[in-house]
Amino acid sequence: MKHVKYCISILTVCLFSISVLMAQMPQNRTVSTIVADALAQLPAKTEAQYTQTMKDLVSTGEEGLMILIKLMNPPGVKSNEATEFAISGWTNSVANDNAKRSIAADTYEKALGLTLDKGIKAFLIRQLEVIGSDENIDILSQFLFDNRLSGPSSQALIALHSEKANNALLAALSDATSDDIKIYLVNAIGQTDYEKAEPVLLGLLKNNPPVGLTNVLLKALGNVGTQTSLGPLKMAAEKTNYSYQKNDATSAYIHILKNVAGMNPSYVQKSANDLLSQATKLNEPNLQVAATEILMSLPKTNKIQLLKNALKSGNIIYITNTLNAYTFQSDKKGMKLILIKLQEPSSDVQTAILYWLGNQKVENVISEISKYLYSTDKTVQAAAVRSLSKIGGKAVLTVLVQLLKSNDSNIIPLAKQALLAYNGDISGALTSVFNDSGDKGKTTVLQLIAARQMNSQYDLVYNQMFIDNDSVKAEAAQTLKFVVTEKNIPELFNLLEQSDSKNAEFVKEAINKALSSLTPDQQIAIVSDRMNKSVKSSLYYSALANSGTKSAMDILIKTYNTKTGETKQATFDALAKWKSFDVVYPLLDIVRNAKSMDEINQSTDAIVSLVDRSVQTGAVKSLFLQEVMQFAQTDRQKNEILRILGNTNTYQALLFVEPFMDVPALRESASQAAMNIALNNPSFAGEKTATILEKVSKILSNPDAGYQREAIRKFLSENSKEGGFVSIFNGKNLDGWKGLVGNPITRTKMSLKELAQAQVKADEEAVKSWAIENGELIFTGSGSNLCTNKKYGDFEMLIDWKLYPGKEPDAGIYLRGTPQVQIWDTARVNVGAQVGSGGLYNNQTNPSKPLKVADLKVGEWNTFYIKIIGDRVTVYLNGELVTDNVIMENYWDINQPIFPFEQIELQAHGSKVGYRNIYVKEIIRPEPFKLSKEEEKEGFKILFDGTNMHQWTGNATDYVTENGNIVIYPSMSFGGNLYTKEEYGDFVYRFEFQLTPGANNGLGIRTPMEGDAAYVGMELQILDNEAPMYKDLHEYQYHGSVYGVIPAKRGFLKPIGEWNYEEVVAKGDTIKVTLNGTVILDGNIREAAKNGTADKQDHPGLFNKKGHIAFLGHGSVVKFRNIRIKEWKMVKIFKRRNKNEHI
Amino acid sequence: MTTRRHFLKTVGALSLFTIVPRSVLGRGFIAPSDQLTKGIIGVGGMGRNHIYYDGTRVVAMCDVDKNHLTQAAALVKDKINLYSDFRDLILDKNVDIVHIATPPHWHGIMSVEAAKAGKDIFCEKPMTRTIGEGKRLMEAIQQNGNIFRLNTWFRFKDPFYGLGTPVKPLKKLIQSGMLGWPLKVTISKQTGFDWKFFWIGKNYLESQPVPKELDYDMWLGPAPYKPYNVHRVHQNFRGYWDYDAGGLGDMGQHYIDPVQYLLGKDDDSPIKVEVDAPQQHPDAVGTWQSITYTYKDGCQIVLWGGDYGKPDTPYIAGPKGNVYKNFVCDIPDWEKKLAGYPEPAVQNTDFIECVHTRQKFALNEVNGYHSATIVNMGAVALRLNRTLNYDPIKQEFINDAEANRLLNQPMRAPWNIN
Repeated sequence: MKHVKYCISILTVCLFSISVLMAQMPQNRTVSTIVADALAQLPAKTEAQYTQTMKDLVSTGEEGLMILIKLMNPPGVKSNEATEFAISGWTNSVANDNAKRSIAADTYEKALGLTLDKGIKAFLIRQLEVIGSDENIDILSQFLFDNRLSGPSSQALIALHSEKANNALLAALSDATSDDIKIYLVNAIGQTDYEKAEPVLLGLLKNNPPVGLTNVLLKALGNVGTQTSLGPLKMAAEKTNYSYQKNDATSAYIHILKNVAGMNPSYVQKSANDLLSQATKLNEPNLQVAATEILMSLPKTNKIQLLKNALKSGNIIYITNTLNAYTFQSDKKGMKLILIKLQEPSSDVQTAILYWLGNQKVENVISEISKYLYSTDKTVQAAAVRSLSKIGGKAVLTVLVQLLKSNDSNIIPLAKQALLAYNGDISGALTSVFNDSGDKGKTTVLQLIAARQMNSQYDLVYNQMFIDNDSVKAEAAQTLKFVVTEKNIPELFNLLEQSDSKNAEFVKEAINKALSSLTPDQQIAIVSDRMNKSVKSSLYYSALANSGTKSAMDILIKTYNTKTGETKQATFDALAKWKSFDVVYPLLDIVRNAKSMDEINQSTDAIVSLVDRSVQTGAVKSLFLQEVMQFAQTDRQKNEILRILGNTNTYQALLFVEPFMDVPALRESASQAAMNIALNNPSFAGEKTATILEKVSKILSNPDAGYQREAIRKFLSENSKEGGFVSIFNGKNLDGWKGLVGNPITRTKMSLKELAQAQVKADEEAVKSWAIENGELIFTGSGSNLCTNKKYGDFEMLIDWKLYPGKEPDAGIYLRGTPQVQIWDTARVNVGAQVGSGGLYNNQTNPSKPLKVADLKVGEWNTFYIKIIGDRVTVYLNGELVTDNVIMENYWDINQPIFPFEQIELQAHGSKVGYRNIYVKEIIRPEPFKLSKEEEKEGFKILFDGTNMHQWTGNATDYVTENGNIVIYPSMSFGGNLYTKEEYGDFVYRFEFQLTPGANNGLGIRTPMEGDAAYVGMELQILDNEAPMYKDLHEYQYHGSVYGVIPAKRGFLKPIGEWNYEEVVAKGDTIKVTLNGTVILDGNIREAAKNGTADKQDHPGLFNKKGHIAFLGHGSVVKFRNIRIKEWKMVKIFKRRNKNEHI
Repeated sequence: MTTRRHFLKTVGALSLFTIVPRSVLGRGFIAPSDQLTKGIIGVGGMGRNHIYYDGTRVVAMCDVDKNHLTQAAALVKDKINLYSDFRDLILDKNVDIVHIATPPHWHGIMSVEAAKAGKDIFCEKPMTRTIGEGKRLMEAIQQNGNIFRLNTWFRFKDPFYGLGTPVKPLKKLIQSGMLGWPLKVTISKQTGFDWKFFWIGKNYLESQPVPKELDYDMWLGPAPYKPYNVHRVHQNFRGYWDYDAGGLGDMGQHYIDPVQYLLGKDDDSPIKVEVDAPQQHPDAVGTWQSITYTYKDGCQIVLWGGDYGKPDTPYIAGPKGNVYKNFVCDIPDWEKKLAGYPEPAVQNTDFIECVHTRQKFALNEVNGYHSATIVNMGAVALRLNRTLNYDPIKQEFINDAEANRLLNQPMRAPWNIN
């Protein structure tokens, strides 16, 4: 639906424009169309869309805004969602454009004059609160006496921040009779700075108002009052004895004192001094602070006296805030006073002053502060240290390190904190006190040396390894690794051989640190050389492991397998700390062949820790964690495995952790893991995931459980609780599977009987070659492929597979009966297997090799994610993308595309293979539309069968195929058009469409691809003309009308959300439209246009002989399907044929 | 007077068994730490955690929902005072510290009132829901000399949420200058931050009868009157602009405040905020893709909503190096190099000690105001769907009258913050 109500200026522009430019532009539409299109677009998803939609909307001016306002329902009764987005968006988008802002504000003003629900009016008043100006004061003032709207309108007025608005509030206050209204108005005035209100407010206060009104009056006077109010407010404060009360007269009084301080400082000084003495008398330190703050701001105040008052009080609140209010450090007299006071035996006074000295970074007071470093009061002591720390500098450093010589257990940690934060070199200062310090001091020095990694202090640290003091020695051992360099290696080797077992571990760490600056080969050379000379070679395994080389690993594995006792343990410890992930295989060997529980436990821990700290994909982590879970003995280990599984983001892990939710000691971590995986991976959503999440929700018990349950609820409400991945292998038997007969092509050539007989035979063989062991599906090494009973089209698939060591390990997954996603042993270089698994092995034209090698070692589980949509395949192996959206060729007939539906097969290739965790998520695609026999006979042709848009051209961004439909998702409010590639003249066109509320589209016929089809061709309206916003349509705008020319009958659309069936017959000048079985239009365009068209517009394309058929988009979502056409070209064809016959 | 405190200190055995509120000793005279008392306003959700915060004993509670009050009171063994009007709790002489765990639209008024009554304050995040209220709160604390603590703690402890590192070593690295300047910090799900996007509002709430246990008028307080619906109140309030700002309001200060500390912007504000977000409903808070803040010196804070953004984006990006999740830094040999630098200055992280010594808590009304301002600037930009420029000195938006009207939102009678 288009045009019609031009405003004059736009009409003028259009007259001079050529029709091509007019097409589909917002100004070319009627106001109600623009508004409807905009509503369909809101809320805007992007900034661009927002800007465009608001531009469109605002272009409709008052008329459009008024339409929106009239569409509003009373709040709380029916939704206003779209209109609220439209109106608030309008308000926000014009706020800073004066001309447009005042149009909007004027419209709100007009609307507020209409009879509307008060809730709607409150909403409109809030718009004026945002963009109103003095011009809207009159209308806002009208509501000031309305109990429901007095609040909103008075608030809108104060938002204007203008004298006139404030005056309107004041005028209303003078007229107000009810106390409730007075409270609204006074409270509003209290939020302004409108001094002129003072006499009225004071007048009200004088008349003994009720409590509620008194409260707001006092606050308001505190804010807007002048000197005149000082007296009354002081009286009110006195009445409460300056205590805090609900009416809070005291704070109103303080407020006004502050406000008038600039105008009448001497008066305020006197009043504030009175207040201070009252506060002192009442022993109210916070009030003393408030009075002092005011006094400090006055020029003639005796500040020293204020300071004296505060210090005399001995109250830490009063002192601290008085000190903070003024920087006395530039005032010699003040400083002197403070330092004298510091000596008084009050810990509160001392604390306040010490902190202040530090916060102000007062200079030359280090010795004064230092006196308090050994105070018996810990608060004072801490204040002194922190104060010094803040002042900083070399003199402070000297004082701080002296503290380390103390034996005071309180002071050393304080000193350490201060020294850690000390900005500068502390090494000299530390060494100067080291020898004179006690154990705690020495230990602290060593910790500081470690923290700053002082290589320069290596000797000091090293020497402590030979003293007769275990605690200092132990600390030194731990410090070594922070100070060593490669030069120290020989000395460290010696030290290692002399150290006791506890310290030896730290020395080993130091050696590794020192080795780390060398290359792996250099490391191996140095370490093996030393090992050869040493009788305690096991001490060097950790150094050997540090190199990370294959030769080091071989030595360690060999030693582990051949030695016993401490030596064996030392190699294990070295392996456990191995840096790279390849150590997982020897560790798995150890756990699998373990002879003792200790061995199982420590190797399980080592693998879990390795997986946790590694940077492997979630898929790889998940595989190894599932593997190691079978060896985990303790709840600690199992909980740890479950925790890490929760970060792997694999569907298999989600299912793997589920049963552990039933084990009391593991349920919380299993639930957390399941929740993390499910919530982070919406693609796993479905029936199974929903069941697990609902179970998780019941189990969760931790401080954040409320948040977590909320997150689960949100996830379940936004994602499907049906479908999802389905297990196609039950782990018990071959239900759902069968043997292989022939191939997809040969099978079609077999008779049903032949096929059945062959199948029986194949099934018998399959049972022999495919076994189930421990829930895994094993191909024994001889026989044929195993196939799903079911045929699949588009799907995602998860499958774990394992090649067993042996001769030529090889396998594969057939998709839709077609070989194959390749699986093989990468060691088989002779057949090119070094490229890795996961490629489309049989492709000839398209890529057949994987993008990278992502295989794990033969004998370990691997995992595939496979997706096939149409003929395109994507494969992830162990979490790595190896096949990226590659066309899979038809191996059985290279000239055919891959079959649309076929079975999944597990390939049999003569070696032992295991499969498990086989899940498929089908991606449903509707059956393509087919013509009925009658239509086929009549000569109909399909224009859209649900699978492709090959017959169409134009805006392919907004129009997409989805679930067998063409759907328009307009990116702009004026949508876009989709045209048939062919042109049609006389035809029968049949299609189905589904509308959204207020939806608008159009069917263009006999139209060129450029220009506005309604004029350069013909447009048959497609419109939800039942929407409230279209109640005032012209007849020729109804659904089905030849737009602007012939009206259609209204009232035959199906309810929103149902499919409508429409037939359009265009034959010469007659157009006939049948909607859901009712003829809603049957007319002759030539006759209708005889005396000018109904819309009084020029329709230059009305009598086109032929043209494209098009969907003409607006702002709304509309779906189309099952589109077919029959052309009448019979006459022409006959003529031609006749001609030919004559020739 | 000092002798009285001294007396109490020496008779420790007696004081162990008696709760002596500070007010009994005279304000400013400090009882041993186990004797500080608290009153909690808002005990529906978060407020109940405040019962268990260490170092103080709960002596009073207040809620406008009678059910909440009864349920929360049952969690405490001792007999305590129960109120429905927060001002009565503030007036309670037994209360030393007022805890505020209401929806954010009350934080400003309640903090200011408590400050005027001379109470110390322990307030939930976000500090306030407008910039203007934050400013007023800061003034009130200054004027009355109270101790104020905001309840988020990542600037001084814990590896905050999924980042995998506490803030201290990051601060040390930044302070060392090894990353260069200016820095860009990206806060997103990729680094473990979860904006809790389920705190979004519904665009339509039908009118429902107010339950009899709830004083809805008092619950709304200064906020505009809107018909009652259960989704408006209690946990769901976070989804409505009148009371909060969704995940940005609820979680924003948790994530932003430590970054403000890291960047050393505790007394500064950004000069620009840009948003990339769908249009926001005037009442209900929606989601957003990103919010970008820029400081005068070029430092930036980027917030990424939901799954937006790339996983390999550094948490902190500087011209000389980057830092990723779990403290992965791409400067060669950075640990060794960093060790030579001093640790960040010690922060006052013991609230009880701060109440005793009257020293500002690590996260107080001043730096809390600035990080709340970052949150609130973002909320204003989201609501208006546009880029805003800000003047940190005048503390107002530049050339945007509408945005400035959102600095101080008019309050419904009889409420006013002054």
